[in-house]
Amino acid sequence: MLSNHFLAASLLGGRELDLGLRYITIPDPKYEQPQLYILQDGGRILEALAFSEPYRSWFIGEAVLSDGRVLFLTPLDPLFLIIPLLQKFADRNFIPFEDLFFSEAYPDYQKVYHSVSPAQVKTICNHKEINGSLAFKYSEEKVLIWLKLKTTTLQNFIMTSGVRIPLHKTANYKASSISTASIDKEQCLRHAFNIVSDYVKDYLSEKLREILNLPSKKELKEQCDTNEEEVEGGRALKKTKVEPLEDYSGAIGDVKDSKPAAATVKQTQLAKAAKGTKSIMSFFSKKTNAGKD
Amino acid sequence: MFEARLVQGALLKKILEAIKDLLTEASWDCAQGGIQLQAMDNSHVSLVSLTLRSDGFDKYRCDRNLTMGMNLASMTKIMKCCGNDEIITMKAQDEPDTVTFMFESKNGDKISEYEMKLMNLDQDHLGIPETDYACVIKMPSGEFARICRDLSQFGESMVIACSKNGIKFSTSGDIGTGNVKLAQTSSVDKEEEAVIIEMQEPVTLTFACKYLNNFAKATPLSPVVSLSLSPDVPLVVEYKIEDIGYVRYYLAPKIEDDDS
Repeated sequence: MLSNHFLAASLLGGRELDLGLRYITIPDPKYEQPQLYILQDGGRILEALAFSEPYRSWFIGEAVLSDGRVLFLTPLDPLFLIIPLLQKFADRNFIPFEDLFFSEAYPDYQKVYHSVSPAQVKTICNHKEINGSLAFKYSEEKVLIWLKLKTTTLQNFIMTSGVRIPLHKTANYKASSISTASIDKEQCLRHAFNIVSDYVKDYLSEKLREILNLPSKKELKEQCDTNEEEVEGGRALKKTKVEPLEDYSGAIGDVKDSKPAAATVKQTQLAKAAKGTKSIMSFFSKKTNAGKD
Repeated sequence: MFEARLVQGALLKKILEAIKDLLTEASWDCAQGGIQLQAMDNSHVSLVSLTLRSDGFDKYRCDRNLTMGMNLASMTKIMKCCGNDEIITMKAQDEPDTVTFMFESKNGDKISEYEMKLMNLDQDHLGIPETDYACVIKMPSGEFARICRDLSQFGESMVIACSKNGIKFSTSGDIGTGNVKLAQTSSVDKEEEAVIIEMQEPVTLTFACKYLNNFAKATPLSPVVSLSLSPDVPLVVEYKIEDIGYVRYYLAPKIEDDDS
């Protein structure tokens, strides 16, 4: 299963990666646990997603690597990463742009500075100019508008790209009947919302859910249960109907018996023609291996 | 390891055509000396004996004696995939469950391979005693096929009577009777076209037309057929296959009406 498995520092063993990638340690935006992100040379931030299954290993040459995870590095909007920072330090006062990225606990925030432009920050903050430089103040209202925009953009992408929606995240998913064209708009929205809420704190995603008018998990579960009951009821109904119309189990013996009868037309004609003729075995004796002449 | 290569692939096709209507399945016994097949039809009134000597093959190798039980209908399907001018190679392991037929085109640019599952056939081999037949008739195989075909229209059984004057095939049925007399050819221009009778005593026997018609399917194998008859023993219809062997059909005579 694919999970937002934020990269563990131990994975890199303290080595800098080649390919112009540097790793930085900053808290993840949802749980605020220190996680490793990758900073590309151009300032792009990548997160690592791990596809992991139990009992999976890699064979590399002659060696076996017990960690069988597949890691995907995917670009991440840095605004997600600085939301927790803004909430903490720029909630009440306007903070100059340069000072936004200062954190004693996580010095690596400084490196994100180059990945974010003031214009981007404007979308989630109120701003004003102080002494020729921009200062920002966290605005939950703007953050939610921004998140809603993100979600609808993602929804549109899901609808057009034909991405399959995972079963556990959709309410009235019906296996096999799903076709990309008929994916429900709301299902896509829900899926998009689920993706976005992986990157924001729970209370924010809850607010976003209300804005988007999506049912809560609790409501969804109830709906799911009734759906399942319906489905199961349907299955039970079907089960009673589907019964073998013919009994094949007893036919094996019969088939053997009927084999001679199933001989070709030619064979039956031949058998008919043989009537009145002595058996050839009455002329020739069976040959034993010893009595070969 | 068994391997037999036959440049004249059409020969094997003809052989199969000659036996497939009579037999549904048969054991091919392969040994150093060649391939032999002996089998009775399902009604056990006729027997087919086929011999293909190893020296008749272009390449023949048989390390251990082996028996390959084949469903002839399946084999026919495979042989239909073989062009008349293609080279056939039969291959099998020492204790085979399958036999492989390889067909090569003359110029070698096409090779088809078919693997066929073998069957476990529990067939008894019959010992055929050496017999001095009272009459041995050699005649053009096409002529024999023609007579069998013509006479089988009238009745189910055919009387073959061999005497000093010649050989008489006759039949009777609902619409009437028919008979064909052949005299011994006096001046032999071509041996293949001659009717030659070697007779010690006259013989008259009755046989089922249907079977004789089936024997006649071996006609493409040889221009000459030989019929051997003796009182109260099976008729032998033999087609020599040039340079490689023969196919012999044995057919038990019909029981005379007054006997029963």
